[in-house]
Amino acid sequence: MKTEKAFNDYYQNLIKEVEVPPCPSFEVNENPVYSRKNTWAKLVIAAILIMAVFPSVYRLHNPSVLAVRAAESTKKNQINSRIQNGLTEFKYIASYSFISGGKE
Amino acid sequence: MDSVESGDRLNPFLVEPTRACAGGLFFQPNWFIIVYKVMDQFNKIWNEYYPKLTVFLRTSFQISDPDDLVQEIMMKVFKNLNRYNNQYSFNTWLYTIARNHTIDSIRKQSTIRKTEEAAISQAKILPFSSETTPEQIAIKKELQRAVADYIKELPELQRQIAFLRFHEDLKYSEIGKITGIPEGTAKYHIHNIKKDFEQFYGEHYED
Repeated sequence: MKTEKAFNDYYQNLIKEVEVPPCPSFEVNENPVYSRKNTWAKLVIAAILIMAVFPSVYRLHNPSVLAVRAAESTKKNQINSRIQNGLTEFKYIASYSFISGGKE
Repeated sequence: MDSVESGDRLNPFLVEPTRACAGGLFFQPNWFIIVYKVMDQFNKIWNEYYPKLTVFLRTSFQISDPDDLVQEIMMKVFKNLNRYNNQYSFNTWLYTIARNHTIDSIRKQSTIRKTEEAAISQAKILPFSSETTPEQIAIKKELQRAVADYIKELPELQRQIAFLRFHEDLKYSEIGKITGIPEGTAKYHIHNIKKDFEQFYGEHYED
């Protein structure tokens, strides 16, 4: 017990003398490997964002794209109107043939 | 800063750092709280273990200026916090890392200055409490000088064991894990140190 206490006192005295430097802040990244990794990560994220955002912006503001879109929508309208016309015609024929009992 | 007595209270997994790493961190709604808690825990670990590791390296490996090494060890500890198994003592885990890292560094670099005088020269006898009598103070001073002289003569392994047992109060099994020896051998070394020190003190100091 005496020995243990003597050793413990000795170590305690040494520990009391040690000056503890301030805990390092992780805002400063001193490891070059991690800095490089970080840079690469930033670049990759930036590239992905550009690839994701730029085409849609490009499409929105490009006149030729807008023209194509307009043409497409006109074509769609035309098709729709044709379908509508066809339906009306079909309805007319069907009702006519029903009333006349299939005889013209 | 709150003082922390035991290694168990320094459990960094109270804040679940596995969730705080890499991608998981970004998607946490309270990620800033997690980061703050991890940093706070690390700050406590730093303040608690920095002096202990310094003395451990100074006395056990007789490194005269262990500051760089201690900082490397602390960084290693922080980076590997997610590998720490909660079931085991934090002290055991930390001292195992410290010991292995120091041995590796000594092998790699021959520039680490090892000096026989490191332990004794820096072990100034601090003033004792006013309750003790001058006689008791003299005895204590003498005892500490004896310990410093005795530690210098011990082999490296026994110096490590002495620190881990007499200062950190670790179990024999934990000392065995850290130093890589069986529990029985650790017990045997402790017994030997005690016996030898009494003999050493009797021969050199008690007249």
